[in-house]
Amino acid sequence: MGINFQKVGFYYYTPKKKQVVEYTLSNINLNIEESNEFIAIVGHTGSGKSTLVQLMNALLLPKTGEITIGNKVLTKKTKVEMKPIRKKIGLVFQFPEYQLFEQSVLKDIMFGPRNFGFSVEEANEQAIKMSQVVGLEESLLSRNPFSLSGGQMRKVAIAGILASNPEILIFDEPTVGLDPLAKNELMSLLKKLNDDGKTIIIITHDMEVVSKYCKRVIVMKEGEIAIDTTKDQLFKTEGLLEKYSLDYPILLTLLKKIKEQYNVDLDIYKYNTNDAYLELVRVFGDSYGK
Amino acid sequence: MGNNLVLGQYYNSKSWFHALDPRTKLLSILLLMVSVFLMSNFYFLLGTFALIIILILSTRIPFGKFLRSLRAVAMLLLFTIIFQIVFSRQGEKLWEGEFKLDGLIIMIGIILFIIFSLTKKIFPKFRSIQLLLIIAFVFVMQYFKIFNFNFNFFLTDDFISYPIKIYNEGLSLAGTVILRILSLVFVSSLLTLTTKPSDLTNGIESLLKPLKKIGINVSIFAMMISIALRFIPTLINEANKILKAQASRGVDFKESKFREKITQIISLLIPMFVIAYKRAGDLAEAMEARGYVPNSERTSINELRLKLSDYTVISVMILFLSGVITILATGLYAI
Repeated sequence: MGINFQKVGFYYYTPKKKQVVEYTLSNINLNIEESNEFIAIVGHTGSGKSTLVQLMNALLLPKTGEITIGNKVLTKKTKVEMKPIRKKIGLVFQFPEYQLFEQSVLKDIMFGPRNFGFSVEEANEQAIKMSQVVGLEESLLSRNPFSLSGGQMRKVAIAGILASNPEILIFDEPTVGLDPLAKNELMSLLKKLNDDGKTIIIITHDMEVVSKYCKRVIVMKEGEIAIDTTKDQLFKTEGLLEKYSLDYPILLTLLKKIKEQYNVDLDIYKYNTNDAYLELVRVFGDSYGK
Repeated sequence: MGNNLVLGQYYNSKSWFHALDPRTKLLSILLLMVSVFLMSNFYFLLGTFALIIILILSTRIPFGKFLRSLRAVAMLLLFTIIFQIVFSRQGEKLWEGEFKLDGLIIMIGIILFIIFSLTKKIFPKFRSIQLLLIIAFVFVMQYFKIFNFNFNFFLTDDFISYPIKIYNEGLSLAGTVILRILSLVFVSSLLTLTTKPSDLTNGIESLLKPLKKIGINVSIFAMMISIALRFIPTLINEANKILKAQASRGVDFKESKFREKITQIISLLIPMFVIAYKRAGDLAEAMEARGYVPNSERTSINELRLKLSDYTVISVMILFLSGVITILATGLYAI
């Protein structure tokens, strides 16, 4: 169930005669494997990130080019059943807590699987399992979703998508509006899911998140893919801030500074404090000890 | 979806009518409507209609915009014409005929209609043309008696046969009704096309100000109306988001059964209510933070001021209406 984009273009408004089409997305070529990928889509506001992910689960259809999802080819005029695609590719929108509506948390988590044709027992089982995966206490399952806190509601919404057991999971700015603890929990959850073999795609502005968790980065600029590369390669690129208004992670900036200052052979591409510490010890360890 | 919706359908062009004070427009259009209702003479209505058309052309708004507003009343117009012409029995008889449909043709018509309803999904663009062609075909067949066999087969009996008599009074009645409806529709869309919704609420607020003396505070209602108008696009946006979010959870309005559809509509409605309440609360707090006190006296950023042109238009309108009333009262031309 990989996703493949071939010269995809997209615009929202049907152009009138003689009107020049303003493409929201143009010339998108992209290949996403069905497992083990952890992709971050970054870019300026309005660069087409959200549109891109909506194309990935057939909420929108391409206006030009074609998208292949699994064995289904989507073009401008395709009329295939969308449900199987959406079952395999789960999309969690920004502020997913607004999509809750059932009387109890459990029922709300079951809503997705039930729509995708799971039986009541299966859906129930999946819901309980996924509520544990996202870290919801069992006592919450019978509560009304509107009585939960914001972070808990987001967990419920994510569990609702996970419960239909998609192969690829897409998150539109999952960490916005969460406190640091909830953010860490959520990102470790995504990492765990990724370790279990699922492909995770996140839209984010947070380069710390990108540097800590992601493997591959897609940089969008004015509706086109500007860079599609690994994390290391991206951070080796000069002038990210000026060109794409992206920031380097703090750790990387710090290591770079140290490297320049002391002119030592330091591997600056370390993405968590522990690795960085070990690298620093490797280079400076002896002299610092004395 | 949200962008197709035309709210207040304001059309921006620079004309003298656009520049009028919203109160003037409201009042003069009200007066015009009253005079259209008072008039019953066909020729007077025709003259007024011509005046309205001139008015419309002077606003430099494409005429298609006005025709589009007719779409809502097209059916009403059609039926009014048919009923007035067919059922009126006053005055001189002009024409007499019979409306007939025999069994065979009814059968053919039904078969064609079934084929139409099966195939209409294939060519959705030509749906209405197809239906029109079928109806026309049926009548043409009947008129020329294409399938008029000589043997007496039960299907060749006339199943429907209705005598049609057309009287001149019916025709003129139909004419007045059409002119009246057309005038009313055009005049009201003249108001909405040339006035921004916000100006309109300002105008209504200003016109209804005297109501404050009997304890009704109009400004609060005007504020509510403008907030409601302002939030329609926002809420449509939110609805779109929720719709997509639920679509990712397997909601599909096209591919599901009726029973499923009900839960699916609930899955859209409840989040919408939650969002609307939340937005309303946020807005109320933001307004209070900026010092909004209900019921207090406040000035407007765009103070309405009547100009010479406004006075002229209103006096012309008042003269027009009083002229109509005088003619009616004296019975000079009243028919």
